[in-house]
Amino acid sequence: MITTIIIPVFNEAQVISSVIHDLKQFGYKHIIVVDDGSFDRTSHQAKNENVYVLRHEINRGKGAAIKTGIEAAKQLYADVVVTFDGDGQHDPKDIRKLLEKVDEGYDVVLGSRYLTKQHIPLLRRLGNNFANVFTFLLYGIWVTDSQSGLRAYTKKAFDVIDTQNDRYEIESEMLREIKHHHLKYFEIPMHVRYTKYSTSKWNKQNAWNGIKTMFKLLLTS
Amino acid sequence: MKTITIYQIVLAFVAGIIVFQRTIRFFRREHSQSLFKYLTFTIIWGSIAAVALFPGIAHWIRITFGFGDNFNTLIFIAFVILFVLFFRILSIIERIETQITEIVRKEALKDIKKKKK
Repeated sequence: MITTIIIPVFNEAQVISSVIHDLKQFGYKHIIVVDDGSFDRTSHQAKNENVYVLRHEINRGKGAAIKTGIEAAKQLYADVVVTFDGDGQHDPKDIRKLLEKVDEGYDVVLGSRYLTKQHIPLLRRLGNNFANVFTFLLYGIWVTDSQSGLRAYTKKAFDVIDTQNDRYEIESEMLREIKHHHLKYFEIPMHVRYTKYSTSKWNKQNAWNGIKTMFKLLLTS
Repeated sequence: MKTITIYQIVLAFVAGIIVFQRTIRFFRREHSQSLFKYLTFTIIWGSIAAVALFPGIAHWIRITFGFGDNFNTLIFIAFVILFVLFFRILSIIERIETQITEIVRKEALKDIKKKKK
């Protein structure tokens, strides 16, 4: 079974090498980094790690980058794809837990920050709860972490999932597709590392982006 | 003599600045400043400034074109048209964004094809 890790990145030159290095230490060899129009040395750093590096010449958003990664994974005959954030906040240890559930027959396995006790900044926690309720009202699917970026999709799932939005809406859109295609899904607790670096980046999902995301989801629902 | 209120002055001032800026940009031959765009802006903002300073113009239009008491209906229709235009433009932008992403994706995936060979 070929498991391909997709890492969408935008200006992560500082940490991308260590993220890839960590993944390799856990035995994941099939890694696709999608550089979403970074203007730092992200692509260069990733290429040095000897993984597939695809580059969007202009920034199109996390959703677009993940979709490009999935298209590439299909061409590389992946059986399972795992989406993994490029800022170092995900723990490669959690991938094994995702894959165990895939082996049990689930089509999609979602990592959740809220199924285990850990420190999550209050504003982020509130924002996520709001997003969960909003996603539920819009698509009728309840999960404890609708905005989690750590997810595993089997071939059955990524072959049928079709998303349209390019930006952060993709996380909720994926849930819509799970519901629409009656895919079997499961949530597992995941560990998240909120470092000074990962929380200080300006391009992260903030309140204003959250409002824009909701507006776009409403328009395209 | 009728007195001019502050809001009339502010509106006329803002409209004047916009027309002035557009004129400068047009005569500097700045990129994307077509004659059509320049005239549209000048007519719209010029009219706003004119009606702000001389409200009698609105009354004159009402009488001349025979709108009578239906002037409010006309304004309502104008709003509806603006909303339709707004959503039409929104959907055009959406389509163009999707096309850009598709082109960018195709380019990015060329690399994977090369590496596979």
